[in-house]
Amino acid sequence: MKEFFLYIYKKVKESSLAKILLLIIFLKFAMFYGFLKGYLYPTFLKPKYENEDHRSEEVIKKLLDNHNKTLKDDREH
Amino acid sequence: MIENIDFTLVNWSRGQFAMIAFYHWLFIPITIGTTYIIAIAQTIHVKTGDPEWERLARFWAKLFGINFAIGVGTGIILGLEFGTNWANYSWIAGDIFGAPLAAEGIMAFFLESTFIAVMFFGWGKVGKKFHLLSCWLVAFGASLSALWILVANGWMNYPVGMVFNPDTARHEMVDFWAVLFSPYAMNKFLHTITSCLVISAFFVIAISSWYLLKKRSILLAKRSIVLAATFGLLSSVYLAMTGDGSAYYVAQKQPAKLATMEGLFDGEEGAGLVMMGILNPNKKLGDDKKDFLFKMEIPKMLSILGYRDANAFVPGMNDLVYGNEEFGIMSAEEKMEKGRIALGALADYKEAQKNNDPQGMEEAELLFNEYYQYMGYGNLHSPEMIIPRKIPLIFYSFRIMVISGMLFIGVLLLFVYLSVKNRIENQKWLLYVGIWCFPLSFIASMCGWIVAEVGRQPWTIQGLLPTMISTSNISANAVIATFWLFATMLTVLVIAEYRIMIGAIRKGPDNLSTKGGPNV
Ligand code: HEM
Repeated sequence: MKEFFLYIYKKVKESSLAKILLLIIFLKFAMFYGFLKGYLYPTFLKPKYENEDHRSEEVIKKLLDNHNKTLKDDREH
Repeated sequence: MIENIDFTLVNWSRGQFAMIAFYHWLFIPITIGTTYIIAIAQTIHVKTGDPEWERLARFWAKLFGINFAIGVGTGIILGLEFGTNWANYSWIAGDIFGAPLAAEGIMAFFLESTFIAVMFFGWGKVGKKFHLLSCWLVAFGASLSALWILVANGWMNYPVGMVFNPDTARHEMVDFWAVLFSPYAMNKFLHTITSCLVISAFFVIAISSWYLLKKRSILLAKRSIVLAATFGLLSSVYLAMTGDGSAYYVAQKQPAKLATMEGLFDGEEGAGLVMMGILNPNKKLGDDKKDFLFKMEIPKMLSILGYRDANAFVPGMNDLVYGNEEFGIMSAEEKMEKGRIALGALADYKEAQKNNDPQGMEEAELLFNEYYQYMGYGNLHSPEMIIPRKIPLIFYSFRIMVISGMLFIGVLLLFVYLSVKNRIENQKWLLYVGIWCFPLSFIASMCGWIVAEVGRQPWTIQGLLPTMISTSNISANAVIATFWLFATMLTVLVIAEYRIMIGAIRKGPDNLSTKGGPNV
């Protein structure tokens, strides 16, 4: 097993294509997990809920708000 | 109007998801389909001992590797988006989505990454049989990892196996097997995977045709064409069969989508399938203008396709919106009324819960359950909303997909025939057709996604949750900004893929040895 991994390491070192591909994979995952998941989403894009109960309340509110609005629309017409 | 819905947010959230899915899909078919071609070539090598088949397998594995390395992880953004842009949807559907996606993560991680390493670096290094097994496991693993997300997508189109919990406002899975083996989901899985096989067959054929036109790597190109064309032909026949299955299930579960796909405004008994046609752009729901400026149809075919009965009634958009008593079709207005009763009962349940009134809760829950299946209609504000708005887009996309599917069968048949007769090299025109069929196969599959997803509107979960209330409570500007950020990032990746792939194709297979060593 160890021998196989050393062999992979050696071959990757020899191949410029493999190095470029590994670099792309590394940059991508750093971007996706580091920047997006670790920073951008939690800082700017995370919907603001205090806890799960609050979240479910908000969802129910959205379902029912819109429904109350459609009832009102109906009555108006 | 519904003032409490931010349509800028809804539209940009939809646009962003579609854009990322589009980029993500550019990598998927080749990752899924080429693995089978590699595994078959390697099997032939192991059986015959002919080193040229191994060289062939290694060359396609190299191109597969480039595509895999650049594409892997692009789906992560989609996963993240469920939580940020589609928080309400993720919450309401969470229990159903969570299980399949978690399973996908584990499956993809163990099967794909482990065996891909063996497939790439094991040539001549590990035992031939173990290496071959790894090739096949990579192929099955790649297809299986797509299973779960397609099951989740199938569930959104045809929700089964769950109950709605009014305490948490979530759909909770009660029957995992009903979700997994829903005929809609299974058919979607087979149709999508088979489309990947056809696209990959054309990927191999297109590059091999280019080699033949350039008079390079002749033996490898000819063998690749025989293999890919035979594999592609079988796949494209099965693709048409599963496409027929898709149309059947759409007819049963999403009649509005079917009517839109066919531009069918008024339902008919023994309805024909429009082969080609131009929709009347001025036609509106409920008016009596002509629906087509021109059309050519196969008589009764739509009834057969949708209901397996030449005289079956296929409801049109007007029947679904305004109802049709003769054929027992409920109007959208009536469904909206029932939906409002369901949501009203949910409100009463919450009120009773706040007031600590168990009897009130029980009564409200009973009423809610009775009308639950219409829940989503309670949020619509006009009956016409049940019809997807982009009728021409869906109609023409469906035609492009089906006509391409038929064309592919003919083209692949020709490729097989002429390859077997060893006359393929001289058929320059066919080699060019082979090259052009590759982008066309991608276009056909994108059209398939448009039919499936734009055709599902106005729902995220068919009949239960409209798209307009599935979004998050974030600002539209944040979604617009991230739209451009992702578009830039993904465009860079596609350019990288294109350049590296073209470089590897130009370099060709000639430097790949038939002895051991990886193929990078
Ligand atoms: C040969 C005739 C074909 C028929 C009758 C057919 C039928 C269909 C139908 C009815 C759908 C919508 C399914 C839904 O809404 O759930 C669909 C979706 C799709 N089709 Fe096709 N199709 C055909 C050929 C093709 C071809 C040639 C490709 C690509 C190479 C393709 C790729 C797709 C994809 C990717 C989807 C979206 C995923 C899905 O919903 O299954 N189809 N097809």
